Amino acid sequence: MNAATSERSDPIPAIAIEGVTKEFSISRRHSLVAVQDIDLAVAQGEFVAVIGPSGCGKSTILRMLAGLESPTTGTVLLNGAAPAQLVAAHRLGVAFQEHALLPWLSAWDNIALPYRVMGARPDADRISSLIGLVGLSGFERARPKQLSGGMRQRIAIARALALEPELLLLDEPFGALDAVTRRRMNLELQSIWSEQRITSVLVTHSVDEAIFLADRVFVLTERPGRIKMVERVPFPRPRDRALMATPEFHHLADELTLAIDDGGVGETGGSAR
Amino acid sequence: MRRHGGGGRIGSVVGGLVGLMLVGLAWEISGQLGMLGSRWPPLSDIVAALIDRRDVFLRASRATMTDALIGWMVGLAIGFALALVGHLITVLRRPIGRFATIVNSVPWVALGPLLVVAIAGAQQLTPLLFATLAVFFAGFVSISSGLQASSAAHHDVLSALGAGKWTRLRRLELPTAVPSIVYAAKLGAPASMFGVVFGEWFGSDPPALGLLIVTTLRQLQTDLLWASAMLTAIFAVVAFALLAGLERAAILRYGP
Repeated sequence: MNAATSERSDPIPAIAIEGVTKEFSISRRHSLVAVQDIDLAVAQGEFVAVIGPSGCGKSTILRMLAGLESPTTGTVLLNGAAPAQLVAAHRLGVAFQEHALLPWLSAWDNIALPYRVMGARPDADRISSLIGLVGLSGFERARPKQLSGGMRQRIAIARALALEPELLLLDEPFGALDAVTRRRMNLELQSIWSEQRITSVLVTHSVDEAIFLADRVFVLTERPGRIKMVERVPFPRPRDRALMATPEFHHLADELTLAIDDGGVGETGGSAR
Repeated sequence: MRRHGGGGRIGSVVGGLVGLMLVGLAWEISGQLGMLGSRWPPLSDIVAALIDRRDVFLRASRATMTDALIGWMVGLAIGFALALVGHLITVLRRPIGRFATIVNSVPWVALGPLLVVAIAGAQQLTPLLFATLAVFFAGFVSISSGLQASSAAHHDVLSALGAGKWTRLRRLELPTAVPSIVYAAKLGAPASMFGVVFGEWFGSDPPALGLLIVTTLRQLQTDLLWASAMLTAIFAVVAFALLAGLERAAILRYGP
């Protein structure tokens, strides 16, 4: 009884993934285990990054959080409820690697889309402040085609933030950008996030990006993805460009890179290649 | 999807006009010299016939174009409605597809006389019916695929934002389908013209272009026959060209 009561008095984690395995059937006889036995809890207002080798199921975890896939076994709870509930309440913000902006809508209308999906009148003040936040003032009427890759991603992030979501899911949002733009976007995202402190999950294959943005970094193994390591990032916020040049940052980056790489090519005897 | 290079548009228009003039010139010369027989009048005779009998052609064109326009709209509407129902109600998708294919496979030549016999007063409706038949199937096929053309990434975004079936249709699938709808309209324009003209072979009142074609053929009024056929073709080509322009604009606006 006592234990139960004390458990209940704990705040509900923003995200609770327990014993989750996801299997995809690829043909009648074959199936593919994307992730296996994942346990992952994220506190309210925490920023978590998930890194791992390509094809380790990082995105699958994110898709399950967004309610786009359901786990084969195990449970995924967001604020104690199924992801579908958060989605139905329009409380989820997502940004994918493919910006997925609607080509026929202007920047402004793309950011207003979550309101329209919800059946609400777009909040013009909120949208202009978001456009300012992502540094696109003056581009309200531009169509995605007329904008650069970095600008499109910024609109996608503004769209994800439009309804002040309880949970922000970022799937390689800067994956398609060049290194310089990417770093700039990381700085921007860091300052945006520091203001709003929305519980966030970032999937990335950039170790630097993960460390720079997250409070904790989860490292997955190769497929089937399991959690190999969880690392708390000790650097205080707000973080700036100078952080990435410190020995502590490099040390942590090396440690995590090693964790991803460990047991990969070398173990299968392919090191000679 | 379908993309058109914007460059050299003027060049291709000029080239087309030059080509058209050359064909016209060859036509005129071969007609004047009687190189291809007496049934091949020079272009100037045909133009003269058009001007000479302009009241007949004007009335015939009006009758044909009215039916073609109505048949085009009705055919597109039916194609769109079938595509939409098949899209929204998954279990109906295959049956609707089969039904549309069967209707489209019925040989017109057999259907025409049958209709005239079967339904009293069908003569008035035959051209309209054939226009509709000619338009609806291509419309159905094109619009069906257009409604399915949205990318997985866009669907994911809408899903994660909590969009239901109708919101998804309105905000994503219909806009994505716009180029396909215009494409269907483009293909349908000449199809509708030919459907109407074919339907008019079985009779029309007032005498429309299709009827003019059959009667002038029977009476060996070669100039008038050529003039009627040429008018029909010109209307079809002009409608097609206008809608092709609209399609380019739609792709630019709604395409990826």
